[in-house]
Amino acid sequence: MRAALLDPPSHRGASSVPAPIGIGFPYMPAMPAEVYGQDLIDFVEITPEALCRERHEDGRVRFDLVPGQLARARETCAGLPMVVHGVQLSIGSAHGWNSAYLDMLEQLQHVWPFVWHSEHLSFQTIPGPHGEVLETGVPLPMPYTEEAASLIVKRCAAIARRFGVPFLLENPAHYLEAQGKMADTRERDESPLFDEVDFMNRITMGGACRQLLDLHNLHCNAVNHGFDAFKAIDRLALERVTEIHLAGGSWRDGFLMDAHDSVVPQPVWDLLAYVLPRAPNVAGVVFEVLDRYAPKVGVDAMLRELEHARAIWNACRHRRPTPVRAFA
Amino acid sequence: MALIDYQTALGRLIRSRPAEIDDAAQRQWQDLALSNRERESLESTLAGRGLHFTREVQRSWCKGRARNTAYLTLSVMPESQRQALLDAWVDGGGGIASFAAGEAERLLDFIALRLPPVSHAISLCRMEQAVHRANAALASGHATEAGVGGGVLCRAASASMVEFFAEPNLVLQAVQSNTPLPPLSDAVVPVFFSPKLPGMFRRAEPREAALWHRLALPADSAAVRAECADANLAATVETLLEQGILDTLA
Repeated sequence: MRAALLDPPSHRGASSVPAPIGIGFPYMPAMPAEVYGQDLIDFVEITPEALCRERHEDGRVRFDLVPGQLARARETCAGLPMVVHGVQLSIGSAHGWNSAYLDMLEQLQHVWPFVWHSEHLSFQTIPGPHGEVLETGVPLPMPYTEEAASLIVKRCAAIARRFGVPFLLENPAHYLEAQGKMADTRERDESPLFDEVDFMNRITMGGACRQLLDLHNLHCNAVNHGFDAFKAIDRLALERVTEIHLAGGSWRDGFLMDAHDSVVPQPVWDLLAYVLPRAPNVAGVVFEVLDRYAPKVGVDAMLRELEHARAIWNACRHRRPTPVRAFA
Repeated sequence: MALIDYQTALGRLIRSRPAEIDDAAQRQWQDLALSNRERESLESTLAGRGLHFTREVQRSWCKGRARNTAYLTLSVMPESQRQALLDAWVDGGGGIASFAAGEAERLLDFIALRLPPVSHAISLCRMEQAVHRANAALASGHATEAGVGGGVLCRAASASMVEFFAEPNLVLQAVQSNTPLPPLSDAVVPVFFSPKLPGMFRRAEPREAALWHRLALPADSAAVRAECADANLAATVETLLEQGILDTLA
């Protein structure tokens, strides 16, 4: 509570715990609009880059919200609370993040306020030989170091001040062995490396951001890197978890991929039932599907997944601990 | 390890082409401030299956971006040709940009150069390029800028003329319904695309198409009028200027 009193007004909203909303679903332009009018969805998750065009001006990149696409999204999702799930911030890039994304997000917030916004705990740009920004083509995991954690904590604080609503970071799926080791043990070698859980806790306990716990990402990492996802959850700062993602994936070349191309596998449902009673501040659970795989999964199957998520949400609501309004 | 050096090293590994990856440690990291231990750690990553799989995921994403950008063009090709084109594009460093529209022009030129000059695929390819061009102009606001004025006529940068080798609606319907494409016809159907046109396209009249071809290079407006000696030409030019299909240079 003390932290909330000392914060400036704009920061106070960012530190607050959002009230529970329920079950969410991503906005996909190709989905039948009726889906968003059904009682199965309590809120919608928008990826704002999908409503944008990139523009180069005076040597700088800018993202412009496309009025027609924005209007269509708002009309489709009319009446539903909205949260943002961005993909282009590259919050972990040491050379600098994507300020064009934040400028665009500010425009979006002005015309369509969101309850909270989230991004991925990763980096996807590096400096080029002539000072230019090079994209890696795929998000890459952060090294579990104090330097990386400090950078992220500072940037989260800046974001919290700027937007005044809660900001969440999502634990990513990755396939690099070095990052995946030791996720369910407390053993460490002499190096300063954290593991995945310690790294996320170090950042969320920094105070300026909360966690989007992607259970399918955690499941993929557990399977691919050989650790116990339940033990990892036991070590997470669960009071900092505000949103949960569910998704399905597929196997390729001996790796379980976070492909968002199928229904939720049973181990991920088990993780949801395990974590919800233990995480006091979860405000929403979202079932994610990539728009290009939506026809393959099918509308009926997606609606069944939303029903399943709601059943677990309702069953766990009464067993959840008292919400934590401030953190130590 | 400085974070920026670690990320640069890992990012270069992911971005490198297959032929470059084996000498990554020797060549790609020589300018980075890495300790021996850090270098060993990265070399260990280099040897792991996870790095190669991450590169495969990245390659798949790059192909996906290209596939979305040239969706119609690629959809009328046999799978082997489609894959070969996508592989060649990604091998050359394409598809990495998150906003695929930024490299749409180059990708569609890359594909067009590899297509038969008389084919439905080339028509669809140029049509997708024309739509990207018009959309980019709309997004940048250039589509609403008036011409600078002056006596030199040219094609507008945001406009295109696409030649179809069958009735365009039949071609598009066949693509949409995944049915056989209509036979190629000798009668070319030219279609203009411009951000200033309602719906962004319309058929080009023969006189307009001839003028478009004439202006492959900018030309003096008076000379164009004199060449054609056509009383209606001035009106045609005015119409095409108003519709953002032609422009004038100072």
